[in-house]
Amino acid sequence: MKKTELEVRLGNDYAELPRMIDSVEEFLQSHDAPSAIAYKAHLALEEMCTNIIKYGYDDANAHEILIHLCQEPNRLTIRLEDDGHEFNPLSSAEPDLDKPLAERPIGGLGIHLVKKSMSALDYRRENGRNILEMRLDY
Amino acid sequence: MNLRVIEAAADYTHLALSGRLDIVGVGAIETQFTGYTASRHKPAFVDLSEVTFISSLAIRLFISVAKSLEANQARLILINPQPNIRETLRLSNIEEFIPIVTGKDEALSACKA
Repeated sequence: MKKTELEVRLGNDYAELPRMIDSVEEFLQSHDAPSAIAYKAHLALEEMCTNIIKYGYDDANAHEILIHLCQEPNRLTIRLEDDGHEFNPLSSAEPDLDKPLAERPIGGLGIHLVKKSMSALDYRRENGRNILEMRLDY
Repeated sequence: MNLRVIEAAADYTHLALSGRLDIVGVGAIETQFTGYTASRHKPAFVDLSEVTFISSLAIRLFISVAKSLEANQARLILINPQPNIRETLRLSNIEEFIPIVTGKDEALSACKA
C-alpha cells in the first residue's frame, strides 16, 4: 500500500465534529485500516478537537483547525494545527485515576486516553500555531 | 445517539444506549440519562452493546451518575460494551466503581455485591 493523505478543515464549532469524523472514518475504511486503529484515530480527533474548541481561543471569532492524515503501510499519522493560544497537551498533568470515586478529578481524562492510545505524540509551537502530531503504528 | 428504556422497575432501571457517545451524542441524551439514573436513586443498568464510540465526556457523565447513585447506596452498571469501548473504559480505570458485565442477570448480582 502506498502513502495516501487526507486533509480536513474544521471550524471551531462542536456541530462540525461529526462531519469531520465521518470523513476520516470513510478515508480509513477505504484504506483498510484495522477497526482498532480507526477507533483510536476517532478518539484522538474527538478529544483533541473538543479541547481546542473549548479552551483554545480567547475570542468568539471563527477559527479553523487543520487536520491532516497520512496513511502508510502499518502506520497512521495525524497532524492537528490550530491558531489558538499556546497549549502543549503533552505537558498537562496526568489525572490520578487511583483515587476513590468521590475524589476523582473532573479534567484531564481525554488527554490521558489519547496519550495511552497513541504510539507516539509530538508537540511544537510554530508561527503562532499549535502543531500536534500523533502516530499510530500497527 | 439514542436512549431506550428497557425497564423502569421498582428496584432498578435498565436502559440501552446506541450510537456515538461523542460531545454531540452526550449533549443529546445527558438530561434524559441523568433523569433515568441518578434522579431515580436506584441501581441503573446501561446496555452499551450498540454504542459505537465513547468519549471522555461520556465517561465523566457515567462517573457523575455513579457518584450520585453511590450516595444512595446504589450502583451504575455497564452491560456488554464493544471491544474498542471496553478498552477505553479500561484505560479510564473506572471498573472498581462502575462494574462492566455481560448481561442483566450479572448486573442484578453486581448491584447486590
